[in-house]
Amino acid sequence: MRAWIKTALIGASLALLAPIGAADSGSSKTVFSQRYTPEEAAAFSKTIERTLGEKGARVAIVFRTGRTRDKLPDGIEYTHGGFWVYQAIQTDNGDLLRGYVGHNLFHGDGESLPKTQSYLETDFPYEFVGASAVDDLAVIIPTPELQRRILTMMADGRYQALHDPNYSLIASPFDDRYQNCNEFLLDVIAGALWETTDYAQIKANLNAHFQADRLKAGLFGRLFGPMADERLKLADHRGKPIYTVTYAALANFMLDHGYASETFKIEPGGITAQRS
Amino acid sequence: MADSFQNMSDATLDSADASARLAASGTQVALGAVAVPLAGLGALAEAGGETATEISADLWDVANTPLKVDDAVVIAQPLPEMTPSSPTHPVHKADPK
Repeated sequence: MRAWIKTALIGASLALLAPIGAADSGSSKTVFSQRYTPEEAAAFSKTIERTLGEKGARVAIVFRTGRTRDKLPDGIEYTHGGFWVYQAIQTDNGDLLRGYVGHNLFHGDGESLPKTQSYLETDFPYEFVGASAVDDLAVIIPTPELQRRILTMMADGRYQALHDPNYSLIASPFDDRYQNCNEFLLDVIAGALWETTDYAQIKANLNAHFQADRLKAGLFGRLFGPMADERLKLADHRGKPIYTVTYAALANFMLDHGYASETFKIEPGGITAQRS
Repeated sequence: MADSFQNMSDATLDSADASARLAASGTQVALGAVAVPLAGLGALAEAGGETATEISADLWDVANTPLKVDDAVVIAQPLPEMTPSSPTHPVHKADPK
């Protein structure tokens, strides 16, 4: 009987936690969601690239969700975010193409790297869009000065220095123990804003100035989270409500303080919602 | 690069299959393309049609002006096949006597 109750509780916790895809940074294996055919994903990725190019964005922050919205908690729209950088791309015949390259934090696949560890890797817009499970992606365009600072950090190694390989799906942006893809974006932005790689200083600054989104995880989820999914770490939330970095929180922070030129959502037909 | 919850979904397509289908569709693709490391900032500037060799104020004077994006859809390189063509370690044979 006791074993049955334990099994039922763990099952309940799994059901509660399954929708928490706040910042599911993805693994190394590229999987297309089949929301878009390869041809549609290619065309849509070019639409986004051209939109960014027309706006003169050398660095943009792009978000997608690999799960449909009915499988995400309220208020969570996207599960992965990465920097898209206007960058030279060399083909195997030596030609240089002009376009965007995704710079991502991914968690391990559980085989070559534990799922509780992350790594930095580049990809291309076609793959990024192909993994979307819904019509829209979201974009934040930093101000030109912030773009310049981020790009400089990528070139001189400070970007890589802010990567913490200890991964949690629901990492707290106010604690230095774990990091996910969205917190990494925020840490890089903070490093660029305050021009520091002092991680303790960055966390202190974010505690003072950044408003994270609160996740609703039930009691079972809080109790059994680490048992349900090894990528769910709760220690960095210190027994308090779970706050994490989302597209909406990052967009609000950057727009409210003048760090972003604009943010918008985009579908194959074009921009659907825009704020500046 | 998939969101890992997708790994539990039935409706997924491997990247290599998706790339093969795209290439077969007649879409202009760039196979085997790699991002030029950002440490090579000259290449970045060159790609933007400028002559700057480093990120400088001059380069950023043109920020927010349109940037050209090429038509080819860039597809990541597949994992290389590692087929040993020769023994990994030298074979030491006894000297013929």
